[in-house]
Amino acid sequence: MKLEKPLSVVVSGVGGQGVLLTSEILGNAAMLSGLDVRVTETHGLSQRGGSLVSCVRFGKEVHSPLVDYRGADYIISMELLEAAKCSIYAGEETVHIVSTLQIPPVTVLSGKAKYPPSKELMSSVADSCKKAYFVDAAGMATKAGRSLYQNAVLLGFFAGVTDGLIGREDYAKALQILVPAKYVAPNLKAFDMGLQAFLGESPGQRL
Amino acid sequence: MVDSTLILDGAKDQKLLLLGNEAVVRGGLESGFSVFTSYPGTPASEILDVAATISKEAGIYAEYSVNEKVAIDTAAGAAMSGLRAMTSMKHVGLNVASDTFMALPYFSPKSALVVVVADDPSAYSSQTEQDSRNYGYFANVPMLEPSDPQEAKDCIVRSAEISESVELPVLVRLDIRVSHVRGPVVLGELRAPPPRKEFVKERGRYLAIPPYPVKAHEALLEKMERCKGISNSPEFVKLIDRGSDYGVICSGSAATYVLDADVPAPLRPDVLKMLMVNPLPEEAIVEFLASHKKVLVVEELDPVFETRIKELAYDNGLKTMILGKGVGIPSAGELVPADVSCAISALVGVPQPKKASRPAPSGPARPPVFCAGCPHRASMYLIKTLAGKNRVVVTDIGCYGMGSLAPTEVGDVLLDMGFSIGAAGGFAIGSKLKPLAVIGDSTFLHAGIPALINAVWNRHDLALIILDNYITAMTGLQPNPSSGLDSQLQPTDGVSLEELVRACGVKNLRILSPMNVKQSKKEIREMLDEKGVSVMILRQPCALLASQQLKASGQAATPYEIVAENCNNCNACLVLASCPALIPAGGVTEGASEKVTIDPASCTGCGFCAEICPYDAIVRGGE
Repeated sequence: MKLEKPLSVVVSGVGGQGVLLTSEILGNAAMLSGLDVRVTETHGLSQRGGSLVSCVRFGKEVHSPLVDYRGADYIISMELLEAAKCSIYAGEETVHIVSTLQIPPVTVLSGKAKYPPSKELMSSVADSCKKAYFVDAAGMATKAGRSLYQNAVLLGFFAGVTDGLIGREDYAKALQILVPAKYVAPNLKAFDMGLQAFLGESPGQRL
Repeated sequence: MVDSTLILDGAKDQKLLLLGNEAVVRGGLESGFSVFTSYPGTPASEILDVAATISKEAGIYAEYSVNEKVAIDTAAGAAMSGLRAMTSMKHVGLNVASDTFMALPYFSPKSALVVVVADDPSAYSSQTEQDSRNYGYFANVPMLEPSDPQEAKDCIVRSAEISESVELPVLVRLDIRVSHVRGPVVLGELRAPPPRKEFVKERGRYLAIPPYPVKAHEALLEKMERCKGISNSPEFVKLIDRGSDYGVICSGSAATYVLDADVPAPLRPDVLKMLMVNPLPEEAIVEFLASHKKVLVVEELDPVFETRIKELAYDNGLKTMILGKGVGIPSAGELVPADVSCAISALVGVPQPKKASRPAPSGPARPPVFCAGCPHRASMYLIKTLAGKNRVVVTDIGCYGMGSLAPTEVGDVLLDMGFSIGAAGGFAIGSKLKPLAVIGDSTFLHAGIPALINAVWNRHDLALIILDNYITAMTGLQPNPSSGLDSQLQPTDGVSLEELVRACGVKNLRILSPMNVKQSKKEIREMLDEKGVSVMILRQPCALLASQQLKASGQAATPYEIVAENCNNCNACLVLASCPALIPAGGVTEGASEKVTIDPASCTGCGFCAEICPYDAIVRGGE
């Protein structure tokens, strides 16, 4: 695989959901598949429940870790409101994979704002990009053992969308490096559920 | 996160996806550093976090010092005693360390002393976006600026050699796009510390007292002359020659945007990428200027290189057009790839790519919040309830600083570490209402003690609340003297805040838990009414620390519950507590309950919401 022009992936979510871990798994998998990689978080306080956005860029040769607004090839969002916010990174060619999970921010909890209706958020995401997939990642992850595994579900879905760009074995190796041993198997199960969910949606494609 | 032990155990030639900060530690291990010091601060914290974690196995000494000044002093003393030493800090930490940093180049250790500073352009986690490159020129020390984790590791190895060859401290300047970037790093070989250069008593060698400083200054200037040869060597300045009439000069993370710029390949300019930036590679720059029609200087924040390069052009009679901050490279805010692509397109004269606008994200904001069970939630409530509208509250740096944002909005002034107490003293002069200063344990120990002594000594009329949660929480739960734990999390002699406060001369001292809402309210009222310096320690462990300790002891928290028949959805708990464990009744997301509920998975059982519920509708689980 060449990837002369690097791919830019943005991962968004809420602090504590595993945005950084997801980016790191993707980064390691890309590196293990022989690519150059840069990973960085763009803002947020990772442990404090704020918005968090992270960039992963990989290809034959990469220097800049940052993705420009409207510059993402793919966006993986772990929460619906964050997906809508993160659409500033979406352009005409962007594919956006969205978990439909909803987590109310503190501004909503304290009654200062309303969480927008999910239909509104979904249509704003869909309008901002070429193709949006809305995935019940948290539901699938719960079936795999814990709702927190939804990042693995989304990575599996991403592996499907990108059609084997990075092999499953490289994601598996990355999980082994980054996740405590006892959590590797359920994460892989969640990954496969995400992958199958995509293949079910697009039966013509194979990994 | 990559297991820290891999940073030590990784074999030569192994490739790891390391954070810039992790790569710095590996670089230290590959060049025989034996002493690491730091005060935690984003984006530099991980350097000492990793060093402390692996210190025992690696046979190195790693300490969180009480502040950056003490951290650099400790590292300098260790280097004077013959050990290679590294001190790391965030950009504003270097301000605290600057007294020593400015004197050290005159009286420098013989063993390597490397100061790693990590800048935070866009001030994501800082009070300013200060450009620390200015310190490299201000103190006039060799300065290296890597652009990615691999270079960061290699820079540390080279900086040790430079430091010892010219006997000067070396400044390695990182920014968030190196410190907090992961990239592939090919490991080198670990190296044992070089033979210790025992400290030799030489009169004047380390004495910053007349008549020595002027001679030492002359020696420094001569050493920096010698460094020019190093910065001009191919290892430290790379030329990408594409045969263009146009050129770009850059370094650090700015160089990564230049190398990836969205400009058609045949039109790409030549690039001069610098790794050592003090002294600047003057010969290479002059040659580059002379061979190009127009040269663009791409740098983040201040026009530090631009002004120096223009001076060089003038001195050498060069007429090359030199562009920089005037053509769309911003001086404020983090540099982004689009800015650089635009400026380079303009330089080479191609239609500029449409600059991505920056639309504001839609939907309600999601600011960071106090964790479920965080004692600051109760403290902020107490201060907000009792300080009143007109009293000035000067707060400080730490998690509680977030309390100045919505929804709590506690704190009117917040500047830098320890500012609260001194500034409250200033507000107290001629003021009718006693000002209130708020500071955390770590920040008080870092920079608050002299200010408290000053307040007592000068009879300032102020109230001070010290929020003691036993830990430096904001930067990732690093221990401090109030924790009673050392950098390896082993028990040590800590410091008693109450004894310390009394020793500062404070007569009116109160110690309470903020979770004891009723008593705290009463005593804060008293404190605000009395004259002179009054101090209250609100003491309760950080919720993250407490839950770690609980988990380690095999216990679980007892979550609170809503008694549905007592709850009338008055929302007092939601508004006053804004706790992530409290789920509002219907309307937030689809499928919510009709009454407020408590998420048992997030509730730590702190009980604060039960204290403030007017209808006694919140009870401890199982009661």
